[in-house]
Amino acid sequence: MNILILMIPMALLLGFGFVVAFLWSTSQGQFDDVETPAHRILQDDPQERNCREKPRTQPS
Amino acid sequence: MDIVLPLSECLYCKTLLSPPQPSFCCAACEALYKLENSHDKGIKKPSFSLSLEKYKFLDEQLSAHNTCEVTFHAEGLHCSSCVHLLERLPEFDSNILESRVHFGESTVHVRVKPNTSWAQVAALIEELGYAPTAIVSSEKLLEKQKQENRKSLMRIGVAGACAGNMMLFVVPVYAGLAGTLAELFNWISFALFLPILFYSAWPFYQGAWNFLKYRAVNVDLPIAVAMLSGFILSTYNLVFRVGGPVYYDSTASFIFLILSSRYLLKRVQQKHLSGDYLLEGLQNHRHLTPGAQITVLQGEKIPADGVLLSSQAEVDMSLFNGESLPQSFREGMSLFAGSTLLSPKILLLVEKIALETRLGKILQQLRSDSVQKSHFVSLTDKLAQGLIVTVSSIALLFFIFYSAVDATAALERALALIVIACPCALAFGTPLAYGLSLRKAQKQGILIRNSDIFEKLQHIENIFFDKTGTLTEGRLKLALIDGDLSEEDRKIILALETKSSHTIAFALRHAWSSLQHLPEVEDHQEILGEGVSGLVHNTRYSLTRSQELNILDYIAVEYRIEGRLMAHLFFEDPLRLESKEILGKLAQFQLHILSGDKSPRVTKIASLCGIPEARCHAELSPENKLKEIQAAKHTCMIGDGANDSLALKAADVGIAVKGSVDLSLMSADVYFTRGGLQPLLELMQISKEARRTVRRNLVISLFYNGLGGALALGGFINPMMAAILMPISSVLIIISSLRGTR
Repeated sequence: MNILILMIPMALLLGFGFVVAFLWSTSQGQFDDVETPAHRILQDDPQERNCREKPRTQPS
Repeated sequence: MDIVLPLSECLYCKTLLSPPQPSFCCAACEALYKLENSHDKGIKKPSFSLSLEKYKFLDEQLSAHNTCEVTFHAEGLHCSSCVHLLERLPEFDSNILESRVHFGESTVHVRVKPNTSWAQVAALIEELGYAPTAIVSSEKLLEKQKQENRKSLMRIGVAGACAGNMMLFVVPVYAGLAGTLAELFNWISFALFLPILFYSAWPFYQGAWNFLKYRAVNVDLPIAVAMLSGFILSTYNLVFRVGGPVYYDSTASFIFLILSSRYLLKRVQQKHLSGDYLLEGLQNHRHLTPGAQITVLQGEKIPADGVLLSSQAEVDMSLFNGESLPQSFREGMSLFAGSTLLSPKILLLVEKIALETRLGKILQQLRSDSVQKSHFVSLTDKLAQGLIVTVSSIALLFFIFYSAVDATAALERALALIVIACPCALAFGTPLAYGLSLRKAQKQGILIRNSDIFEKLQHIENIFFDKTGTLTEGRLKLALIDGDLSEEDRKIILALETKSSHTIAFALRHAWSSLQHLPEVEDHQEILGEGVSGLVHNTRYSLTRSQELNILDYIAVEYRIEGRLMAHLFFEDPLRLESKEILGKLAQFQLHILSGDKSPRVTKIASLCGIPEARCHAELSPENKLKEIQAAKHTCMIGDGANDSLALKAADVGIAVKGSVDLSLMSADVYFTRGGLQPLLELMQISKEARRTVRRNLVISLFYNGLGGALALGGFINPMMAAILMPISSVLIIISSLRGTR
């Protein structure tokens, strides 16, 4: 049972770390907008777009 | 197998297009495609000598603030391509450093180099196809709202983390752990409860303080009392009576749940308020002066009420009447601020600006109404209030009588009762259910001013329908032509009606929209209520109301050349396709028709719908409609048009449908943004579900409070039972609300 002396502080510390991370990211505005990033990701990177094969509309 | 699709794809985003659209699904896609395929990758500055003028006031307004960052509300932002296009603003103008889009709020936040012209930025956004509105006056409000949301989220996060971790240490104790380790675990729970007590629960203290100070009825005081008594009882047991019951975990998870559900509600309600942008948009056009002539470009929102000076315009009026089809306007007709121009640029003579406009008045009205909404929530708070009074008096009485037997146990059980019978479940159950129902209704195009409607609809017995625009399309249609009309005749008729804004003119334009190259009309005369006449190639043509044929259920018009009768044109207002079926589904109600229209037409519609003639009243003045409504009990009136406003107001539930003018919007409780009667059935369904959900929530929380209270007084409750019972009741209510409003 002595291992608890180590494990309890570690568990609490881990939890505390995540709370701090959450508080920090919230204060940075990470959760202000949860909708736009879903649209943003649809955009190809500029380089990506240039290399992409030309029209996909050709009949296969 | 090769199948060549007749449908084309948007060249940019590959959305399938319906044939009339050339190669792009929207302006954003077109702009992005051009941007990426243009060889000169350099900065291309759109020419906006014209629009710069329009946004000059921004520079004056913002120079005082001396800011490098402004948020614009970009009207028209609707798809992923829009997001990408607006986030690439820096590529268009080197003065712009960064732009970030907020899709949900339709805003774009722009950061620029010092001393950049904001007019330039606004004009650029406009050039890309959006109507920018700088959010200046309500910026602080938005910022405050954002900060508050962040704070609530942080409080929820802390409460959730503490409550969750607490459970880890409480479970072994429940499982039978005893001795030093159990005591240590309880002390850890105590430590984990402190952040909740001093940070997460802060809003409850503020609410409780307001309650005491201003007598503002709310549920925060009972929550705070329950939480504090839980904390005090547990700490007392922890310090003085080793092994006594400890309630930290259940109290913590309860606080977490209340905070979460409140946050959810707040976000739903914040979405309701987006109409403010429209109002601010109008305010931004204050610099316009009545009498000025302005140019409106294609796709722009018309900034002020005014008279059309160009020969014709196609306008999307859906903001006013829910009509998805564009309406054609001719020179001299009035256009309203807030409607969108669909045809290429027009010249407009400004008549009314900002709050004076029709839209401004509606928005002001709506805004003052959204203030009233909170009134309803306080009613449920009152209900919870009653419960806490009952609970605390029971607890007090119990303590007084039982302390004769065992003082310690009496205190403990009385406090346990308060902790258990906390009315939170009751207090958040009803608003949660109604809030979710309002959101659901809003998604379906049903705007509800007050959630009382859900209760009121239950008692409805009589439903009164207006005929025009409610049961019928509300638009005249060319039904049949008696006589021969050559194409030349049709062109002449159209030319005669060109400038008219009469419904017959709209019907003709609609029916013969393919005709082009209309002949010139000289000596054009429009006799109000009679018809029009004019000279084409020195021949007098006229189109007038027929006197003798008007008794029929059609509206007849005579076409004459040099006074000689050539043909009769018959117009009717056709019954909506779905009206009959929907009225059939409303058979449990007494259905009535109230119409200002002529008797034969009303009777015809009534027989088509299966409404007995006895309950169908024609040729009614607004006052007579009001009398009909007042004569009946438990009424619901559905109508549009100004002449229904008195009736809508008098009815228990007034519903304004598509095409309603401002007056009916002010008097009605519900507004359908979609045409037809289908939303009525949906509204009935939603309110039925809402009522059922609320009732279920009440039963759950009362059952739970009763059971928990009895157990607590009997001394049977222990922390483990509380830990199980309390969250279960809340989760049940949340699930019940979510299911009921799916």
